[in-house]
Formats: sequence, C-alpha cells, structure tokens
Amino acid sequence: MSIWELLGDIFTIHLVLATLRLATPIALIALGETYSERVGIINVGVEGTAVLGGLVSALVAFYTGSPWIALIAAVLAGGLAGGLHALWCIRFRANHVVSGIGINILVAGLALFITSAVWGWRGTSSYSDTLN
Amino acid sequence: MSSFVRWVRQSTFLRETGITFLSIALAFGVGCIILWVAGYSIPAVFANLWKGAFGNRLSIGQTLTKATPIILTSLSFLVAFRSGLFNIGAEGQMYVGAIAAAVVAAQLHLPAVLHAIVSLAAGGLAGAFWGWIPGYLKARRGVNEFVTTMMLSYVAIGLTDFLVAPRGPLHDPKYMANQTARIDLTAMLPRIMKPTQVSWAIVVAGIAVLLVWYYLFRTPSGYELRAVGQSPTAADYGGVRIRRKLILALSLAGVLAGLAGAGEVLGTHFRFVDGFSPGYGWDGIAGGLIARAHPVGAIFAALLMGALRAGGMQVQRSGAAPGDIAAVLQGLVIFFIIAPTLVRMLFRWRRRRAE
Repeated sequence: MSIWELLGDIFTIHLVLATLRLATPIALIALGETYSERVGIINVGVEGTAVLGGLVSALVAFYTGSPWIALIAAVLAGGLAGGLHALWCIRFRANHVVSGIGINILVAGLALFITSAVWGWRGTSSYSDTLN
Repeated sequence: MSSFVRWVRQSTFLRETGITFLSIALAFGVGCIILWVAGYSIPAVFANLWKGAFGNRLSIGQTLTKATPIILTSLSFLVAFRSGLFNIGAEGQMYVGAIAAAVVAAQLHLPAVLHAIVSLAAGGLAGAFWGWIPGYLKARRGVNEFVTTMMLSYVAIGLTDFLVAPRGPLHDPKYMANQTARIDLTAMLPRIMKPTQVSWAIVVAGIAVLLVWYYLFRTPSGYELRAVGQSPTAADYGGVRIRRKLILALSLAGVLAGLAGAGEVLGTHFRFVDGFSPGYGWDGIAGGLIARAHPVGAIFAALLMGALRAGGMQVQRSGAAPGDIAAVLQGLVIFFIIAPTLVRMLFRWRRRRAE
C-alpha cells in the first residue's frame, strides 16, 4: 500500500463531513463568546449554556414532538442563561469567571437531575422518533 | 456591653458570615422550588440528605472522608485566587500527586512514619510541578492560566490512565482493574474512625489549613502574594517581584492539590485507582469560593460539599429523588455566594462603607 493510498483512506469525504458536524457546535459557541468578549465580559459559562440548550431542546421535543418548537425553546433558554450571567456580572458585580463556573456547575447538575427525573437515565434523554 | 453591641454591628466577620449563611439558605430555598416543580417530596429529600450526611457514625465518616480532599483542593484554589489567578486545574494536580505518592509508597521501602511523610512529600512535589508549568507560562509568556490549568487537568487524567492501564508501566498485573500495586503497610495513613475510611489524611488537611493561614496572613511573602492579587501595579511599585509571586502561587496551589491526591492514595484506597476522584478538584473551586478565599472557611465549605456528596448518595438510595439534586444545590450555593450584592439587596442591608 503506497502512502497515497493510505492518505486517501484517511482523508475521505466522511472525514470532511465529520469535521463539519463536530465543528458546528464549536463555531456557534465561539460566535456567542465573541459577542460577550466584544463588550468586555468573559463568559466561561458558554459550556453550561450549550448544555442547557441541549437539555431544553430534548425536553421540549419529547413533550411537543416538534423540532422547531424545541429549537426556539433552546434558543430562549440559552438567552436566559446569558441574561443570568449578565445580571450577575453587571448588576450584582460578581466576578465574570466565577459566575461562568457557577453556570457550568449548576447546569451540569440540572442536566443529570432532570434527565433522571424525566427519563430515568442519568444524563441521557430517550430517543424521540417523531424528529426524523 | 455597648462596646459588644458596637462590635456586633461593625464586625466584618459577622457580616460576611451572615451573608454566606443567607446565600446558602437562599440556594436551598430555590432547590426546594425545583424539587416541588419536579414533583418530589421535599421533606423526604431533606430527611435523607441529612441522614446520609450526619445521621449516624457511618454517614459522618462518609462526609468527613469526602470533605478531606475537598479541604485541600479548596485551599489550592484560594491560594491562587488570593494572588489574582484562577487555578481550575486542582483535579489534574491531584491525579499527578496521587500517582507520585502511590509509586513512592509502593516502590521505596522505609520505616513506618518516615515512609508516609516521604510519600506525602512526593505527592506534593508532583502537584507543585503540575502547578509550576502554568505559573511559568503565565509569568514569562503571558499565557492565560485559566486555560492552561484546565487543559493540564485533562493531560494528567489521560497520562495516569495510560500509566495504570493493562500493559501500562505501573499497572498491577494481579488484577484486571486499572490500578497500581498496593502500597506498603509502612506508608499507609492510619484510619482514625473505624470502620469508616476517615484517616490521618484529615489531620494533614487540618495542618495544611493552619499553615496556609499563617503563610497568607502572618508572613511577608504571603502579604506580598495578597498584594499582587489586590493590585498588581501597587505591588510592583512597592517592589514585589510579581512574576515570581505568580509562579509561587500556582506552585503552592499545586502542592496543596497534590497532597489531596496523596491523602486519597495513602489513607483511603491504599493504591492509585484510575478515576478515583468523583470531581474533588472541581469541588475545590466551589469550596474556595464558598470559603470567600479564607483558609479556615475552607474547612466549613469542604464539610458542606462533603455532606452534599454523602447526602446525595443516600437520597439516590432511598428513591426520594435523583441524587443529583445535591449537585444542583451545590451549583445554586455557588451562584448565590458570589453575588453578595444580591443578598444585601434582598435583605435590605445597607453598605456601611463604600467598597
């Protein structure tokens, strides 16, 4: 097997597709963080914000069966988390980094609590086949 | 008598402690609302939380065992915090300290007490090295310590995982589990509350609290470290060598987190077990914040974290609610504790001095 065949085996169209798929959430989160940084507020809580969006979209999709309502709800939930961070940093003068860590820890706990309360599995929602 | 009343009214200690307790009460209040919305019995959850944390001798032992490493990781966070740095990497420093202590405790052969002390020192030194790297990068190259400490945590967890995995250099071939060989009897920290796992590690943690307090508030070097944290420009003007102080602060943070790992190996598991920490390093961040970066407060903060962990397990076992409610409560406590302005506003406490 020549080196070119080997490289051809590695760099397939599937690699490009997987890269795009895995880069999508990172690109969106980075875009959000850019807004925050532009106004001079560090938002370490983007991780927790993203997890909250995932949790809320799973919950809403599970109960309504509609991916579009779930998407809107997730966007609103993300806005809520960002608003909370803003309230804490600007109004209550909390430390930016610490408030972000707070969001991350709180949402990580909430995600485990709510998934096991609703679906009975710690950290996993059930599969919704209405979304195909 | 009037001087006592004046002391009560003006004491920053009482005010800060009061705000801390009100924050914790607020967090538990919001926790109750979440439980109520989710449809769980609030009294049953809190009864089990209490039973699991302080109900009997065994549960108190559980709480203390879990609080021991959190005391040290909280100290690790707050030492760096006092110099204006964020040490998010206590988890990794703990893993590195634990594996170093496990190697020294199993491979060297020394007399009883000396062996334990040397093993603890090895853990502290390994942690110091893991804290020194981000300290050096911060001081000499201006690299954000927040990112480097956090990323080095994942390096440490992956590295130790590789070392103790089957066919890894430190794997104990007697078992399939990812762990090192059992440590020598001479290196073990004796259990002090049998049959629970509470060991001399908790005494080590207590001594560390005293030493950190003395260093921060009673030595010139500790004073300079706090000065760098409060105002780097003023400290620079005063002749403090800021870069050295930053490296020192993160190295010290590494020592404390490394001791936490060494204590777990020498007092609790008697070997390095892969993934032994359920997140004690991350709890240290919360603990350091709840303690308001005061070493003595770290004891109480760690007890709260340990009690929530032990109580959460009992909540899960009893079926009253998912045990993860403990993690939710922990997050809420952090949230309210970092916003003293909110608590003051809610309870209409006027600020007596401009801060």
